[in-house]
Amino acid sequence: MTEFLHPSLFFVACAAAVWLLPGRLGRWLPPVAAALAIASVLAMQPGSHTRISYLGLTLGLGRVDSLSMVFAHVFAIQALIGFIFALHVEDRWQHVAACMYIAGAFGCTFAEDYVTLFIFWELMSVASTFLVWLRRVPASTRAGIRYFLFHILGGLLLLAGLLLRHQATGTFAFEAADPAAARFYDTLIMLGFCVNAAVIPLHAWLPDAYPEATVTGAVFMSAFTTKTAVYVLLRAFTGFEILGIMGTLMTIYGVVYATIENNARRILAYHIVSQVGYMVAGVGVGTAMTVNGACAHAYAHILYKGLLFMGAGTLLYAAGTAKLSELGGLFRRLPWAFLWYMVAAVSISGFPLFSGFVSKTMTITGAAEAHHTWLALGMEFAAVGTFLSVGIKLPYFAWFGRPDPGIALKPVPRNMYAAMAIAGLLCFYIGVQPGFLYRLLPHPVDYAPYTPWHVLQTLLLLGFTGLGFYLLRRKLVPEAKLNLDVDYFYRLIGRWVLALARRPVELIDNWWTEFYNRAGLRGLMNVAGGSVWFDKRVIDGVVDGTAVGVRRVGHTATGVQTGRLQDYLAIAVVLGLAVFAAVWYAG
Amino acid sequence: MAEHPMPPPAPMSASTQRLRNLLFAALGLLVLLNVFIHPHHPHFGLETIPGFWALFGLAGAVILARGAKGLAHTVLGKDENFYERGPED
Repeated sequence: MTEFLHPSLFFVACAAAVWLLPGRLGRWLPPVAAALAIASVLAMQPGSHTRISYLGLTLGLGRVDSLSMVFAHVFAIQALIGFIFALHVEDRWQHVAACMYIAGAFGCTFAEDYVTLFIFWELMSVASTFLVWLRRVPASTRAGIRYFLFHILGGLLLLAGLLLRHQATGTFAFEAADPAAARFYDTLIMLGFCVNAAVIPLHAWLPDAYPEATVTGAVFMSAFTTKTAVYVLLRAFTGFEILGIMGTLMTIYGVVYATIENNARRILAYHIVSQVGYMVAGVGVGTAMTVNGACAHAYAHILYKGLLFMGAGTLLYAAGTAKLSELGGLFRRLPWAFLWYMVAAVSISGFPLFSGFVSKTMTITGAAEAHHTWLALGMEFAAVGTFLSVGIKLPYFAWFGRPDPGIALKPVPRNMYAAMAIAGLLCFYIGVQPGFLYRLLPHPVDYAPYTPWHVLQTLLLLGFTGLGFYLLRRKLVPEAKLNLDVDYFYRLIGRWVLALARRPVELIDNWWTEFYNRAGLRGLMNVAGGSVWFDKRVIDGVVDGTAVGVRRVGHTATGVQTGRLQDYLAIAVVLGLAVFAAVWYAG
Repeated sequence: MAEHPMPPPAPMSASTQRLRNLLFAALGLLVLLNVFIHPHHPHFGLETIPGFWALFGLAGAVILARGAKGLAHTVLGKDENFYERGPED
């Protein structure tokens, strides 16, 4: 057992302890669990560990190889940083949700078969939904429902794919698919992964939900969901050319939206779509260099994106808003948040000496060397957009730009700054010591980032992007607007379904009420006791909780609604497991 | 909270002007360096022209800013409460 201790164990144990421990003691446990996870990752030996039998299946929970190690390494570090950032949070449920979510991410990373993967995959969906809901405002409740429904869809695609695959091949083994002989079930599995990787047009859940999550929840979510998806894509679908094209489109799509967005956290969310695009493109091109690039970029990205969300989260925490149109001139009042934000901003923009430079250029150069010149150019264009929107526009309008509107600032807890400092120093360390990162990569690295040409090219590209911003800075003023994205369509479909469903459900409700009002006999009333329960709990639950709730007649219902949603969630999970069990026994 | 407007452009102070000129000079210097430093293995022909990536960055920024803002002002941009309105109300 000493050669492999599953990191999820620490987080599950921690979640249980935080739940059970009285008072505020529990808050100190998650960083300890994360530190133990780091130790266990560092001590791991390659191989297949922890095989257990379940339902007549052998589940492999511990595949340790060079690919899973890169991700486990950075997941453990980011867990520690995130929990330090969240140390002041008194709501214990947020800690429980974050622990379970991270346990899910580690479970996926070490999963050796699709069944194990699916179980942890769903755990992540459920736990992360709570990170959205626990912000406890009406907007987050609604965004959480959409987030969860969309992830159910992704989970179902994955489930359908893995069951069909089992029927055809007789195995649940989680191995690489052959790009030349991909079958329908492979496509289903890939689509399921693509939902979590926020591949366009399946991405809208991300910029919809992340800005509505808790300040600390968004830091965790920015690290784990999409990067776990990148990991599983790397594992199974390296060399699928469609991913190269979709990834490059993602990089551009994300920056276009980031350029026009107003909410700082939504800008960053669109940048996840964009940055994950580089990784997906690396997976799709599929050479040793781009696979390395995808891994390296995932590693660097988790650290700087977490830091960006911490910076924007600090704005939201202190000023009560993350909308750029309401901010400005905060440079003097939040200098440390500004400094660490800028470290992350130059990292994501790929400035020399910072982490993005040593990872992003690797993917782009890899694509160019594999003669995907158009993909490489597309990614360079997205790099321009990245620097324009997250490197200049966001900080300019949040920290400079306009005079301080004089918002009263809430004092920022020191632990938040400590977490930002750790992440910022790591971004810088990786930038100047790329060997630290390159040693972790799955293939031997034959790439030197610091050649005179690479440095000059990057400085030219970014310097003149800056000039472009300078010339157009008055055109880029953030506007208090909402920008349509593909979620428009599923919000529309949802509305139609509700409109269609409301009438029959109301009809039954009315009829039922009428029925036991009229048949008001004593004896029948006892029987009706059960019906009343059914009426209150189920029918009114459906009508009030969903139809009316989603139509948002009253915000007062939110508290109750959240409670009921937990019921729905539990039912959904139980149903999912029942379907799985039924299919398994029948097959 | 209300949107607070962008102030009219203030006249630039002498020190700001100096800083701006310095940055412009730095950009010029980078292009000049590009005359002497070339990629060892250019991935396509244009890359060997000095200043290509400078132009790419500038043009990219302008196209993106103009294009994205254009989209926002025509099809994509809606009122902030767009989704909060129900279908009938």
